[in-house]
Amino acid sequence: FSRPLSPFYHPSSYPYLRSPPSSFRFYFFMKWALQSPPPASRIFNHNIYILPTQYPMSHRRRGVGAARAGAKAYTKKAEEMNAVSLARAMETVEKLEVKLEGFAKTHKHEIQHDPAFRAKFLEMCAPLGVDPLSAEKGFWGNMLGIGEFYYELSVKVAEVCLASRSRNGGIIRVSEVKDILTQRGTKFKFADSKNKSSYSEEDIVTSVKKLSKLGSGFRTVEVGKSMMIVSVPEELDDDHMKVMDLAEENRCGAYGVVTVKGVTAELGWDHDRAKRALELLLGKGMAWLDAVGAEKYYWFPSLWMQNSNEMVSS
Amino acid sequence: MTATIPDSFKFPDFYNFPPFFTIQPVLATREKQLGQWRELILRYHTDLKIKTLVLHECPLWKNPKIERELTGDEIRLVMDDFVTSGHGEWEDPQTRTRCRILWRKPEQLASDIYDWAVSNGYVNSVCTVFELHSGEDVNGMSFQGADEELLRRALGILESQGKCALFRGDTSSEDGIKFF
Repeated sequence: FSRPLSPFYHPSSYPYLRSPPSSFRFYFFMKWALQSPPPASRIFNHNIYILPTQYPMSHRRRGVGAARAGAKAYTKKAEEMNAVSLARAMETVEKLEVKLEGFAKTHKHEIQHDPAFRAKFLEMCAPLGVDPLSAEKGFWGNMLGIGEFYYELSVKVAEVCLASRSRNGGIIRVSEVKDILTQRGTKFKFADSKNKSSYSEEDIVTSVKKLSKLGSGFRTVEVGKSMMIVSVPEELDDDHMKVMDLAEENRCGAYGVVTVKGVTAELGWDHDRAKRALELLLGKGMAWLDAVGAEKYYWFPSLWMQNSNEMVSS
Repeated sequence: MTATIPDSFKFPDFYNFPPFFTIQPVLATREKQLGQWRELILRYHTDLKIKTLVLHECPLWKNPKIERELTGDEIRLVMDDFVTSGHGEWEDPQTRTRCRILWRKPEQLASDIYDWAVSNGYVNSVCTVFELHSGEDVNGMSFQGADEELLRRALGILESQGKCALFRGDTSSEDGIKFF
């Protein structure tokens, strides 16, 4: 039984035993070296990975492994290059992190007490993937403790939202939350020397973002020019948002109120669609009904402000 | 003749919210609203020390500043809820036009009185009804200046709880109370 030699094993197909290959042969060698292994059926149903020892002596140094060594060499090179650029990138990021840590140390006080500065600092951290907000142990947690600050703030914001839910249906202005917290004289562990804590509306929005990660249904939404916090998990679809925008933008006669007629006029909807949207908002408790004679007005407690109470003529 | 509201009374924010004067169709919202009405009625009568609410004379049902008012049916609804919650009692249950306002619930007064008695060392000793509402020791307590009728009711509750015993005195104000 003599095994016929396939081109893969024929000595002529190996450049190693030959004199330096002509470019013609070299070309073919490259083509062959870079191709994927042949289908098994072409190799007498043997396993592709034939051990060199199974070969006749003259082929022992070579074998299929050598054929694919060429392909391997190129992938290896490619991996090496990727590894190098990755290592370089990581090095850069590490250097930046070190610089950021130094910066944070120097400006620790401003970060803890000045909301505008804090906002800019967070903006710097974000692209680096540094999250000083996570209230864990470790450099950021211990050094700045901002993680804890936002955690505390989000708990207080949640309290305010939940307490006002029965009145406004689960949607409330960020500025109203801030007013309530300020009125309460809420203090944080980061009170400064005058024992006053300063936080901005942006801080409140950031803390709501942290809350939303807990899957609690808390999220922010823009209504007209106001930023609102929604604390109920129900979806507010596009129709509802458009109606609330109308109320916020004072386009139906008075601020924070809409009528079916106003909605159909301003948004171009038919009577049924407008009525449905308003009834739904009423059902969620986000709108309250004001019936004056035969007229029906829909007011939004979350948008209503004591001072801007204009008369809606009956 | 509707009574006039003195300037000293500070109205809550929601009094100027127009929907406050329309009974809400959505039940959850209505609950909230009726709660707000109860709070308003109670605080108004307690602060101004008015004992009786006469339905058609009460100035709360109308807010001229925002041109809104409750209709007759809506007023009934609010009052029925108020009485059900235990803050008031109809003097004329048939016609329901006059309601006695219980500034404090008798149960609450009862526990307040007993707590005061314990902390001031009146246990196993006697004090009079007069002392309860006008004595020197009761400064700042919830039952100071309370209606005698109301106090009696509270004491009745304490009696049924076995925490005190009543003795007849020369005048009704001098009835004695012994705390246990």
